[in-house]
Amino acid sequence: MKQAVRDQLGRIVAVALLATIAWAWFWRPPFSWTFGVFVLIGTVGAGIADGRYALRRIAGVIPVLVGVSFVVFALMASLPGDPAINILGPAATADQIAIVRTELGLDEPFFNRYGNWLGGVLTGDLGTSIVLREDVADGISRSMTPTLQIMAYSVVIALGFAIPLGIWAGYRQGTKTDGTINNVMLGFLATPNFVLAVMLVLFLSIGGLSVAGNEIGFRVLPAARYVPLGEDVVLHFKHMLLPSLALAMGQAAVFMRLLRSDMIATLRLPFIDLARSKGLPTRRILWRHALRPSSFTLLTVVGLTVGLLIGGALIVEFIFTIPGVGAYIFLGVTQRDFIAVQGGVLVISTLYIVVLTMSDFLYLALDPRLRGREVGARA
Amino acid sequence: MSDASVPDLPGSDGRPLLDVAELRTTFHTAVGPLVAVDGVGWSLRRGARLGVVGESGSGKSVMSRSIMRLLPKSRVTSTGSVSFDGIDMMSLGRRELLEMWGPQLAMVFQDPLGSLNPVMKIGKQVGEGLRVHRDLSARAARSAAFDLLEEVGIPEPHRRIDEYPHQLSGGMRQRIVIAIALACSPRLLIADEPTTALDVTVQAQILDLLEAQRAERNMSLVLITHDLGIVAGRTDEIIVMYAGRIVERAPTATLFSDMRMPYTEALFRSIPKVSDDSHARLEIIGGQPPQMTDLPSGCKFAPRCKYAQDLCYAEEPALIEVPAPTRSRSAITGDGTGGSDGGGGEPDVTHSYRCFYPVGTDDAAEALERNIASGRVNEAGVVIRADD
Repeated sequence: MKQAVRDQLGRIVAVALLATIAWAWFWRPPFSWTFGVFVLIGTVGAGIADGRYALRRIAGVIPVLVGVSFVVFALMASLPGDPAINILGPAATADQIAIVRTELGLDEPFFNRYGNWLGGVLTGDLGTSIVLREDVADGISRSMTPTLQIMAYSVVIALGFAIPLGIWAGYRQGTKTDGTINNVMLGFLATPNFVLAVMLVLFLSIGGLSVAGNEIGFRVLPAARYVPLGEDVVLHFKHMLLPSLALAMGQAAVFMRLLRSDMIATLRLPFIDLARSKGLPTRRILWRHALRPSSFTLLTVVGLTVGLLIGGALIVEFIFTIPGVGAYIFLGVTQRDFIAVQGGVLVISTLYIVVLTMSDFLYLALDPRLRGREVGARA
Repeated sequence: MSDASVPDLPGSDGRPLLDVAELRTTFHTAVGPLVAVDGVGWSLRRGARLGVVGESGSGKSVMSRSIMRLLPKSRVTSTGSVSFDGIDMMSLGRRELLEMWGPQLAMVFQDPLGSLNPVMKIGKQVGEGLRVHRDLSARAARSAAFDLLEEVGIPEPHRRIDEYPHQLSGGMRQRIVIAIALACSPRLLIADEPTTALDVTVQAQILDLLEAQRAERNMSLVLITHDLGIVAGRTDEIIVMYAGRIVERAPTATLFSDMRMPYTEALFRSIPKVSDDSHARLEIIGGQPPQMTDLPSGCKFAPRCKYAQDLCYAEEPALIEVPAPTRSRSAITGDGTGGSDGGGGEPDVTHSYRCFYPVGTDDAAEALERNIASGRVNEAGVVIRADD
């Protein structure tokens, strides 16, 4: 009984701690509230499933993040060319350059500069953009929001297609249904997302092809522009649908094929025989018994995909003129704005690591066999 | 065939609960058809206990799945008749089968860990059948699951109900599997090697639990095993299977006192006995069970049989039916492939076997002598040269 109370207490402490970290760190620039919500749900969920494990994993992530920050800083510092000259232009005098170098702190030794920068980073200060003359943390935070939204919507759409189709194709393995689903999804996999994006815009928003004065297509969705969620919810989703769909279909194909093969393996396991011998309807066996144990590989790949999408689906964002984080960093790179670029790369790498940690937490939710390993050993 | 002649009287004690006739299950494999169950027939009364014994690959599991109609849909065909309480199982559609599985027929499987869903709480798995078949609410199913856990002897059911299978021991898991099978109070329980994966000490507990629940619920029980020792004291009748066929069937006491089939004798001699010296060598059955895709003509056991003669290789013996000694009262009536009971209605107590040189007869003794003389079998009665 005492043990149980202590476990409960530990769980509450862990959840409170995790919630604080998630809120304090990920709710504000350079991250954005959309990401904050995501991290909050993930960490609190993990804390409830196995608080000790969640805390241990987070403790393990911290040195990785510090390492990443160092690599990013060192890479940017070792780029050829003097940032001061980039700012002032080729006509600058030696005095002007010296002043700017002092302003940027470029005269100090490498480790001092890194220390100063890291100190700023920890308080959410990524410096001021050279080109935009704007706080980098604010800029990234602003451009991160649409990127994260497209990422979330496209993954939801992809799973919405992939889960039912993967289950059905796996159950109907080797039949015509299976073959049809596989071939159609293979088609989506083989279509680059920017081609799909252009096709979607062509046929759903600008009226499609014109043949003898007749339009083969529709004008049902807006083509391009970003409307923030807070401004107009309906318009927001109308604008986000096409870019999300363009990104989603390729992912859906990958997710579907993974789930299908794991379903096939799961459906051969003895507990499926037992579920059948209980007289359960097929639908219940597939969704309640087979899906969850078949979704571990799927979860891994969804985690990786989400992580990659944070870097921005640059081309799709360009096609739909969405001011995402990819566009922000691209601008920084072309304008040699090293402060914006190093801030952006750091945030994206951080988010990638956080997302992968979150997907590890999700394993706990999916597979109870992984929970409380240490608790059991200690007791 | 007895299934045609048995009068259709509901609740009649004379009427079998399950009547299997000419059951034949064929797997269509890449190397040709594999007849895993070949013309099996028997019947089982309400509340009776049948043991099915045979080596792995003898077709006993396939037989039980054919009866339940739990085989995969593709590349398997099952013919013959299976009548459960007057219902022709073979003609049922998928939906009707779903209603049979659980409340009428249920199964306990061999591997208790593999048979339980690793990511579903035990209470949910036990109560699920009730939710589906009896439309119980989640709360009612949970309380029913709690009662079932108590019935099958799970300690601390209030805690175990929210645990996952990996948190339990092997014996506990098998108790859970039994609770799942019992949930909808089936009238027939088929236990397919229920104790094979368990420690010897736990085996007896699980078998006792099955017997107690069977008696309490007046369930019929089919106990499938490779171990004659397990069915010895726990069944009314025993079927011995080899290469997909019934090779001997008798009331349990008769089988042990008057076994006729050399294969049964060989199985019996391979059971360790308490009276044996602790280092005594167990008799083994030489050779391998036959390749099911390439069966020998004649008696399928002949190549491994110490009594086998030329006749055994040339011709397959039919299942012969003789009256069993009256002292063994059987609760089961039976019907073999070629047997006929003439529609008498009174329960037969018969003993069937499939052998030209039945164990214990003078013919068998002479056959063994001839085999020893020819060097096919050594002095200890072990086949040393598998000829043809």
